[in-house]
This record gives sequence, C-alpha cells and structure tokens, in this order.
Amino acid sequence: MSRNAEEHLSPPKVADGESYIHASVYTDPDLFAEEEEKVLRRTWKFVCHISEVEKAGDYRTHQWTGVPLVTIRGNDDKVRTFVNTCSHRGAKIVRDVAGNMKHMTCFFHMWEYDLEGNCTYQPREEGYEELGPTKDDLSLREIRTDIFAGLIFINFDGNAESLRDYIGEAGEPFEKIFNNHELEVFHYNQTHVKGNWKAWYLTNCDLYHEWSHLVNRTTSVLTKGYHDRPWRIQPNGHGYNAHHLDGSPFQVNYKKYKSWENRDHLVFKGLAPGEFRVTDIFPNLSVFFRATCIRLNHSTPIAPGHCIMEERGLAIKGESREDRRMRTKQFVQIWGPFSRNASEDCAYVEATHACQEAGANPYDLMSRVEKFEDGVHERIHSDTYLRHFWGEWSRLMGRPANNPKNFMEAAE
Amino acid sequence: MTISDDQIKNLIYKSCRLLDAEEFDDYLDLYTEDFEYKVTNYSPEIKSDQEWMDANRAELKGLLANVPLHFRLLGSFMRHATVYDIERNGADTANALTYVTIYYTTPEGATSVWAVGRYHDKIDVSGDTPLIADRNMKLETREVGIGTHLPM
Repeated sequence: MSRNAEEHLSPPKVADGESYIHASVYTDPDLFAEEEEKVLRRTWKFVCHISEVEKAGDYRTHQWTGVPLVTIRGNDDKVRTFVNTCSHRGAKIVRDVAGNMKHMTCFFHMWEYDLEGNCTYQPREEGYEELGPTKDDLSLREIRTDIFAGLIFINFDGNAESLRDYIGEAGEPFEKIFNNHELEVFHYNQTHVKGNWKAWYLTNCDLYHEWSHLVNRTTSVLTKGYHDRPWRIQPNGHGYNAHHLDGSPFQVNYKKYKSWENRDHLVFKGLAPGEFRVTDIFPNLSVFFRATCIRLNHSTPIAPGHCIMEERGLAIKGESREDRRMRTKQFVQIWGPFSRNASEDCAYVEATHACQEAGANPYDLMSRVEKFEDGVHERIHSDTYLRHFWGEWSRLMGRPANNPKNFMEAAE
Repeated sequence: MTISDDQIKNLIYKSCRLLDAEEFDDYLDLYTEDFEYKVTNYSPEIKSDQEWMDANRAELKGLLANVPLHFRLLGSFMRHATVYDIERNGADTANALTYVTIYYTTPEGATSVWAVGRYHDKIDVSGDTPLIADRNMKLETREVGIGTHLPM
C-alpha cells in the first residue's frame, strides 16, 4: 500500500535511529556553509600525487572551500601550499592549473614571491618606506601540507593531528604497494557533477550499488566469494575493504564481461593478480586497486548541489610503452569519461540529487546489515561504512545527520 | 579504381550518421579488420597527452554489444562534421582531418554542445571502397558531464 504525505515525511521505521539520514544534509545551504568550517577545514584533504610536483618549481593550483590555493615544490625540495592570492590587492597569483616557475609573479602590479612564499620584489619598493608594511610582513599564507605514500594532503587547521596519525591503519591496504613502486599520474579528468560532494564520495563507498554496474554485476557480484569480504572500519571516519575474512585476496573475474580478458598481468608488487581493494579516507578520497589499475578519486565541493569530481590513474614510472598502453586501456574501460563505470556513477549522483533537492525523498536509508557467521563482521553490502561516515560527520558538525536542523521538533 | 576525395568524405560523414543512429554493426563495417580507435586529449593538469578510449575491433564490438545492457545517459547525440583536409600517402592510404561538433539533446528536448574535437583518420583506399584504418578523436573539450559509453 502506498504512503500518504505524513507517512512519507516521517522518519523511516528502523530499529536504529542512526541508520538513516535527512536529505537536507545534501541540499541545505546553511549546513553546507557550516560543513566548510567544521568538517572540510579541519580534516586532511587530498590534493594531488607527488609526481605532479616532481621538480623544484613544479606547481598545481586548486581550491578548497572556495579558497584558491597553489601547491608547489620549493628549492629546498619541500612541498608547500599557499593561499594563491597576492598580499597587495588580493589578485590570484598563479593562474594556470599546472606548470613550473622560478618564482610567483602577480600579474597585477608585478609583485614577486619565491617558492617558499616570501615576498621578494615590489616595483618601486621605496613607496612603502613611509607607511609600511615591509616585504617581511607580506609573505603568502601557508597551509599545512604533508605527504602520505606519495599523496599530498592539506589541512587548514594548524592544530590538527599529523597526517600519519589521521590516516592511521586505514593506509594499510595501499601504503606499502604505493611505496613499492615509483608511480606517476597517467590519467586525469574532472567533471562538474550536479550533486553533493558527499553523495559522490558515498557512491564509491556504497558497494551495494555494484548491482547496477554491468561490469561489477558480471565480473564480481555474481561470482563466488564476492560477499565474503568484511568492511574494516577505522578511526576518523575512514574504512576499507580488501581481503576476504580469511585473509585471502578478492580477485575479480574480468573475463565474465563480454570481449574482456582476465587481468592477471602487470601486477603491482604486493597485490595478487586481478586483486580488488578500495580504501575510503574521510572526508572524500577513495583509493582503488583494480588489477592493473590504481585510481584516486575525490571531489571538491562548490555548492550543496555542485561538486567537481576528479579522477587520477597511477602507473609505474618507466614501464614499457606496451605495458603502459595496456594499463591505460584497461583503466579507461572502467573509469574516465568514456568508461563503463564512472559515467554511471555520475548519473546515480545527479539523479538522486534532483529528487532530494525537490524534497521528493526526505530520508536516505543506510540500514543494510549482512553479518558473517561470527556475528561481528559485516559483509560489504552492509551499510557499515555509510553509518561510520555519517557518525564522524555528525560528531564534527555537532548535529545528528538524521535530524540536522531539528526538523521533527519544528514540525511539532 | 582510384578512391576519390568525395568517397572519403562520404565515409567519414556516414560514420557520424551511423553512430548518431546507434547502428553499431553498420558502423563497424566502415572500418578495416585491424583498425585502432582512440579518444585522446591533452591534459594541462598532468602536462601530457592522454587516452580516454583505446579499442580494437573485438573490444569495440564487445562494448557496443553491451551498450543496451548498461545504465547510461538518456537522450541523443548528433555529430556535425566538416572534412578540412585529405592527404594521400601513396596509392593505398590517405590521412583525413575532420572537425567535429557533437550536440547532445536531453529526453526533454533541450540541446547543447557536448564536445568539440577533430577526427585524425587514416583511410585505407586500396580497395573498391574506402575504409577507416585508424581513428583518433582528439578532443578539445575535456569536460563532458557524466560521460558516455559510446565512441565519438
């Protein structure tokens, strides 16, 4: 029997109040603004891979919570991130997305900064002698920057715990493998998605949705052992699924997809042939291994219903042209704008956001529980990680995700 | 019999029409047996050329056969192509440069430009009819919304 309006707007009938969220967490502008302060500026955020800023002067521009940033390798080999605006009039200094430079020059009045952020030149500097300030007072604002397994992160919060402590054991599925090779980015794409950044990230973390991908359905979900993997929940909102409960790797049978072969070659040291793993680093980075391919996926929030999704593919630096071509071919069959999976994920996020924004679906369920026989571990089609993510989000926000603005009380 | 420039142009335009209509079997018949198909672009982010699709006959045939089974973008594409240049490489092959604009129309009927790019084609002109031996769709556009399962 269908539901009437009152029933539709009532919280879901679930045994645990933390197993659903209110859709406003994806759509409300006030929550979005508060989230920038309490979540996004207080946690470590992935920027790019070290191969993108390999040499002194190599830079990559980006933005976080609307603040323009530039991440650059200094002459002392240290990677730093600066707010990318001139201390003079506030013009954006570095305007290209990537490149190499000896110093940073603002195009507006030609002020210069060295790679360490010091203001080193002002045309007709003597004009500031009477009233000041001096160049020493005008260096760029530096944002805390650190590197884990070749991944560069930033944190606006100078008092936050170290990146290593923040990631903790969530780095276990990928740190050693990343460190076993010299890796470089061979694939990049970004897409403006009409959806909330959390919805994008959580689509990666909701493995129940693999039913919908033809590739995953045929090569994984319907194969033996697929469901015998547990979610491994980690502090600070992280989690991963990698091995089966007995410790053996999960190997995907790519041959099940028409015209594909098995992917038992080009194996990264530390992985089994064809192995699949995914690690989710709060608030928004997913690290995937899929046989021959590594994918880094994250998003930049722009507005409640708008984020920029970025995908990077990593490969082994110096590998042969034939190996790189095969790895690239297999990567873009699954991820990238012309792939089977990534374009489908984009469509899921946009479709759900359109309904949430219209208030057509007031709640989002995350009450799936599929336990192993031990009664403790939860299988990968459980919503274990989703509940964990929203628990961390609620803690940082000081608001429950199932009723973030006291809607129920207001209704009464 | 010498293959004329007009025959080459018609081949390229037909490839657009057949893809628009999603007549995939006929589309594949326009290619040689051992063709290579690529979608490429230059990424300023990683300062490098990159490939977003790379398929031979078997792979493209498999992909196109699976397309109806995939969850994908609704609506339709229309390719508008202009052949700018045809250059002969001896008697058996020619290179063709074609500028392509791809329009996307939503199920509700709204149309927008989806992407622009250039076909860099190698054409086999050794037989009675020309065939595409290699196609590189070099995209100028790098933001293609939710993407697509289809070759362009």
